[in-house]
Amino acid sequence: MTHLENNINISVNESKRSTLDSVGKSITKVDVDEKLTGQAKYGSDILPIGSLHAVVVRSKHVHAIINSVDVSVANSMPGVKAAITREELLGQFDNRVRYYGDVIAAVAATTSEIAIEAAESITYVLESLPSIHDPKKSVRDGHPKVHTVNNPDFGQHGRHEFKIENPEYVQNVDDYHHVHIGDVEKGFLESDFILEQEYISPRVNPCNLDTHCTIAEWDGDTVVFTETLGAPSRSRDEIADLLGMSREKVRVVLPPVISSSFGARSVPQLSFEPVAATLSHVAGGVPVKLWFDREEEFTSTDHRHQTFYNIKMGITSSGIITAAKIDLIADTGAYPNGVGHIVLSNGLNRPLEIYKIPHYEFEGVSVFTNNLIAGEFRGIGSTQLGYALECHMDELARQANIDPIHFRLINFVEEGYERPNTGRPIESCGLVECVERGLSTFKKIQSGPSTNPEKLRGWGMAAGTHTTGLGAVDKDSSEAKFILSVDGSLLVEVEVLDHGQGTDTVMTQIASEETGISISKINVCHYADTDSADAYLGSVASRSTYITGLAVQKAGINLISTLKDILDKLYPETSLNDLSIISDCVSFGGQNVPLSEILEEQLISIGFAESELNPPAYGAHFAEVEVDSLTGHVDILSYVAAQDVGFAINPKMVEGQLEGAISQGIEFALRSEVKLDHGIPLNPNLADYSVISAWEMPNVLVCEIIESNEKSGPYGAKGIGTPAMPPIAPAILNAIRDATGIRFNKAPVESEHIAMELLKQKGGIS
Amino acid sequence: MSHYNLQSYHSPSDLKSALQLLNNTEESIKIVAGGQSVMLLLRQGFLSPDAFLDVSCIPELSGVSLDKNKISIGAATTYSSLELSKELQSYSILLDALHVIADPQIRNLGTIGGALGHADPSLDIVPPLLCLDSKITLKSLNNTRTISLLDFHKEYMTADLSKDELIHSITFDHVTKNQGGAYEKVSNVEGGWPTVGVAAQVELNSESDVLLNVKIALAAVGDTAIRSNSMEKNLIGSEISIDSIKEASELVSQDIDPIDDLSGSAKYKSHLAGVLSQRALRKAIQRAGGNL
Repeated sequence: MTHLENNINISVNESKRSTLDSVGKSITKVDVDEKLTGQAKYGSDILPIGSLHAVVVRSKHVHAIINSVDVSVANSMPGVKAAITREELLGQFDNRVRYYGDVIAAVAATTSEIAIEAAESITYVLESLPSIHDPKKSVRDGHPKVHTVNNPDFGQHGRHEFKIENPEYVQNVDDYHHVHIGDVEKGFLESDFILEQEYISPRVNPCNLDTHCTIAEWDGDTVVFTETLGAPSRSRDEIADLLGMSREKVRVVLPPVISSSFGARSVPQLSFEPVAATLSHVAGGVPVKLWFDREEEFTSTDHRHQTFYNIKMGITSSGIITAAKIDLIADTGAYPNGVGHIVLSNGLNRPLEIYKIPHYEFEGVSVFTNNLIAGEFRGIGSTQLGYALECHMDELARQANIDPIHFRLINFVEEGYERPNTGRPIESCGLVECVERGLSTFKKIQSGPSTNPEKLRGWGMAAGTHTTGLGAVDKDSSEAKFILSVDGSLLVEVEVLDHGQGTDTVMTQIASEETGISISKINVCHYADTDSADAYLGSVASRSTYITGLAVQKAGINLISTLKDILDKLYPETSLNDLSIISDCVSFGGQNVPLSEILEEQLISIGFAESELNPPAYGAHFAEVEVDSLTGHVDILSYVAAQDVGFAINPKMVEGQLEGAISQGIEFALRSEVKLDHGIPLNPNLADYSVISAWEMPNVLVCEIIESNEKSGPYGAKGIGTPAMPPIAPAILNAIRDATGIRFNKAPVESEHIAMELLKQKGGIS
Repeated sequence: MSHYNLQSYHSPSDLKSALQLLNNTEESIKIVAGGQSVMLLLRQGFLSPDAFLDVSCIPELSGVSLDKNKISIGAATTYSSLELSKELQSYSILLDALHVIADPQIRNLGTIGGALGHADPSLDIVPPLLCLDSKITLKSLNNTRTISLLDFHKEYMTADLSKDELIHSITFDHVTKNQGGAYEKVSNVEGGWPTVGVAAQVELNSESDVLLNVKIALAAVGDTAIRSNSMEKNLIGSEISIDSIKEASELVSQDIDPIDDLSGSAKYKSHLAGVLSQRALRKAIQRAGGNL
């Protein structure tokens, strides 16, 4: 029986926290009642009057030419308002399907039953083509081509010109990055010990409870999508480019309550928005609801890129890193969406933001295959890199007889260190404190040696990093708008979305802190559509608290400053230094004046924030495992997540982010994978794809929150949602290495792998 | 994506009405209680009945009853009520399995008769019932018959159930004081389908050092749940020892026929069958009062 005992320790700077009223406190999430009682209306809960229901006919072939599609029977059925073939879809759809689940045809009808029947009546003739599923082969000459050109334009964000410097990589290239820092060969010559090894990561799915759902309709020549898209404006641009329409003619409207994402809703999906838009267009512009079932969620939305990392690292006898050469091959699947670029650049940058590596070479390629499409998932690219790098660091230290923790400590970056990749300094770095505090707590909660000879115990740690916001790539900026009513209530409008991670609560706390207005009188809303939130990115890249939090803070400062200007004229002799808004009054200099006496109408203030920094947030995680030597089953006995968040605006929600990340990290390390057989998914359902529950969580779990005070962030805060991910899987796998003596380098490491390897070592099985 | 043909849903409150429906109907009718297996098949398009006959409102089909020699469980009794049933608290072989079937939500709806009718070889509840030599009572309007569970599951996902019959109850003899049982399972996640599951029930002599009787049954290693006759034969009459259990567990491979699938390779499952057999036997012997 697992007894989940959670603890949360904050190091903090208590003196700083004690000067704050709302920020830094674990207030209850502001949206909790609505969500827990089922009142929250998500996108899939909406059905405008007169809506049609859409069904997509999907390919069971992984690569084929569509010779013919017959939608005539469907079109003649009563209730069917649109039945279209792939080639009739708006946008660049040719006569070829490239993965299992690719779109062949689609229908929209007055009821979902009719739509299903109509879809079943559609017949087609496909001619199979040779397919390619191994990304390492796919880029090389002589294998099937998924796209005729490298770097094809599907309107994806982040698409850029590149020159492929590897003569072996001739085809099926989605993106390519290559960088040299110093002289890597010289670095290896200076080393005393070199280890080179490959690490393979799993294709995992976030399994959002609420599957993808969009409602597309036409307002004249403008198409409007009502759905959760985490980066609404960027997605609007991508959809417009994909459909070949001008951006002004595409709108994304958010539903009343935002669905969870974990990255799955950060980019549009090829067989989703264009399909719904075309069906609505053919049906005369009426709303068409396209709502994926769980199988479609698995086959036709994005997964985490499977990556193949080859890492070679050299160190001196005392453990100083002299050189690292990293080769990455990432499986993008059948179509581009801009995320391959992020996987490569995060893989390239992260090692340089956590360790001092004087000589460094990185080559990465994201590759088209006839596999399912890959996309964004919490800690994009950094999670895969973190897994590979931290397993490698651990293995290298063990083989060189150096303490793995000491090895990391002597190579960590520190405050003021200039990152060689961007030239930007690291302004806050709680790495050493993460390790020291994390280890100290871990020693207290560790179970220690097993008394059962069949059970092997061990422990391990891993560090990790992911950056906050987009500063280093583009200047990141955000905006917040405050509307103060004369009754003292405040509406806060922001561009970032609360997917469940708690941004509405964080923004409420900051607004309350700056204005004095009580939490219960503040409402946060999102810029409801892309017409009003233009130019801002939304909730991606752990930027919300950092950049939008700053904008909210500034809007609060501006609001108070405007009020002071007004009051200065009315009460010229009174000090306004302690001004704040309490209930429906303004309080200053010992007096309370009703807002209605000062304001004739609502008062509006705007806050704007920008940053050219993208501060890395760091973590050091510790795991203790018990491995059943006969069945291979792994039980995580104890776990410490020590995470540098700069400053915890809401410590309880930081804990929530860490625990959620740990569950996804455990899935990555041990349990979950979309298994493909020549591109065909074998487990596209929740009966066969393992999602963990509280049972698989560590028996004892402690979160140590480290506050390194990031000067560029609001109250010193930086990100937590994505930076929590990278250390988790490697901490667990390093603990398994410690327990079994075996390095498993393909995740998830399932019980069977462990049991069979242990048997092999004992000579029990061939 | 599925297309349902379902025309009617019958929910009688007495057994006779249910049997009449089964007897008279021209429709293709599927019996449902908690729906925890049937709804999956329906959704995946493996079933497309014209009608459902819901037996969960028939009082006679729910609950556990005792007589002098045996225990009888109504087919529509849920897993949760079995877990809580005081009559079953000494049946550790059943309780072990009941605690690891899926999750509490499913156990609140899923029924023992539904599982037996489903006849999936991976069901956790079947090996313990096989070890208890359970019998199934089947009723139709004009007939009642009782057969052993071993005979009831003849082929993969096939129960010996006629169109006009329903599962009425499951019965087995009381266990005696010197008996003990256990169920051991490995699955990818807690509450998941077993990669392999093994149940063992033992009876010891009065000195608690000799195995008078041994029953071992396994899930997920063949077309149906399987009794391991080779292990049983090898162990019956033997003195209790770790070595004899280990030796016997090596025979399990003779009785099973696992396949490679998503839950694991046949090789791994064979290995697990041996490991779990030993563990289930050890636990069963300890519970029976034997020293190990």
